[in-house]
Amino acid sequence: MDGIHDLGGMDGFGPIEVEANEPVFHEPWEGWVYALQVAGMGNGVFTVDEFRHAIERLPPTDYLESRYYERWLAGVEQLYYEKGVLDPETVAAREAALESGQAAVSTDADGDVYGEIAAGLREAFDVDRPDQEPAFAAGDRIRVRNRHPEGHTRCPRYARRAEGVVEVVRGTEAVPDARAHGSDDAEPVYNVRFEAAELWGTDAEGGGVHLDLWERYLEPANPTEAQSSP
Amino acid sequence: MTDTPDRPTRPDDPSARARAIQSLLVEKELLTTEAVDRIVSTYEDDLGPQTGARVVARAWTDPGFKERLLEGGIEAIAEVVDVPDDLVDVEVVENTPDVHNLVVCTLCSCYPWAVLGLPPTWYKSPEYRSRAVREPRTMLREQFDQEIPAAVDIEVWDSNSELRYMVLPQRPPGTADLTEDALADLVTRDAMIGVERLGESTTVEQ
Repeated sequence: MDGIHDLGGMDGFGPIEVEANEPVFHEPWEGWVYALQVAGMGNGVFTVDEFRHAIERLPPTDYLESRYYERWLAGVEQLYYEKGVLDPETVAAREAALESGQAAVSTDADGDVYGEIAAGLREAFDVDRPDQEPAFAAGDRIRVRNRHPEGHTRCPRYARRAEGVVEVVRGTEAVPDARAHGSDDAEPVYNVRFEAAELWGTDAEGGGVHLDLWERYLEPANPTEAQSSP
Repeated sequence: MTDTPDRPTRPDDPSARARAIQSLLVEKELLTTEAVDRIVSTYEDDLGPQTGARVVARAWTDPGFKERLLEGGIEAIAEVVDVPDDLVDVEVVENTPDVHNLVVCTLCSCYPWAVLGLPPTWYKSPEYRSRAVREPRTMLREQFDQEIPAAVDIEVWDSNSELRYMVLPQRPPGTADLTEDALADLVTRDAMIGVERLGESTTVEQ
């Protein structure tokens, strides 16, 4: 989806604020939210692609106004609801009960829940799939298709319709566009280098930008153009 | 697909909301309080840029290792440090006198956490993600006080797949006598993201 998360090349956000000696988590709840996300992936409730897409689906104003782990919390909460693990009424009731002291977070630790989450996480992050014959090879000139899928994609807007050169064939991996929507399609992935000027025009600063792109994002660079050169 | 009936309301207090979800997941045996503590502790205490720094120092002192590192990523890294090499793959990109590398994730916040720990807030901000890919040279000068010489090409790595990028900075001049441990102390997190450039041989003071 062409959402607010797709930020590459946008103007107007102002200066980058660097916090000196920043802690890993600013407040305890940020760490809890991290654990809620890890538990969701480790227990197979959702994939990392579904998680990213849940954050992308936040209303753009919420996305920009929220702190980083507020976005994570919203994404995680949304997915626990959509997957039928929790529902908003139960969560609201528990929030009130914890607040009033009528409930407490259980510290029971039966079984090896941590071990199960860790094992599930390895599976969740394993995106390698059986090799398929790649359509492109290192050195090939490609063009990024002008796709605007309604769902999740890892093809940023700034690369669409741009031409670049395949530098590395990475192998065959699960496609995020599919995995965010319950399918496990796999395709070859390519590292593609784009000249900065191809992406940003004649005022570009030079150098290049590299992206890892799935085969469905790509087509051969315009063959008629190549033939027209003497 | 973008319209769901159960869109959560933005909580006034994210802490209370997170606690409530945690509490319910514990009852469903999808989480324990102990697991939460261990996950938090992993990121607070175990992972961090010191891991990447040791890898860089080894690459500066062992040419054979450096070659394996640039080719093999996480497998070579696992020779030097204890990393979850079954969870994440890392591609190391080398700075040279002619090339400076910079890492960003324009779509979210992908970062080589296995070697650098969790990213700083600025790395995850719209401010950094929007600019790094389009005007890296100006951004490095204005925001990070780094003047990359005009003759040095800037290559930006937008981390949009599960492969994560880490920069291998240049070894600073005048460090020939240092031990690997002392060299590791010179390697900053920012240098491994690429918002700091180490070892510009043109600035050697004699």
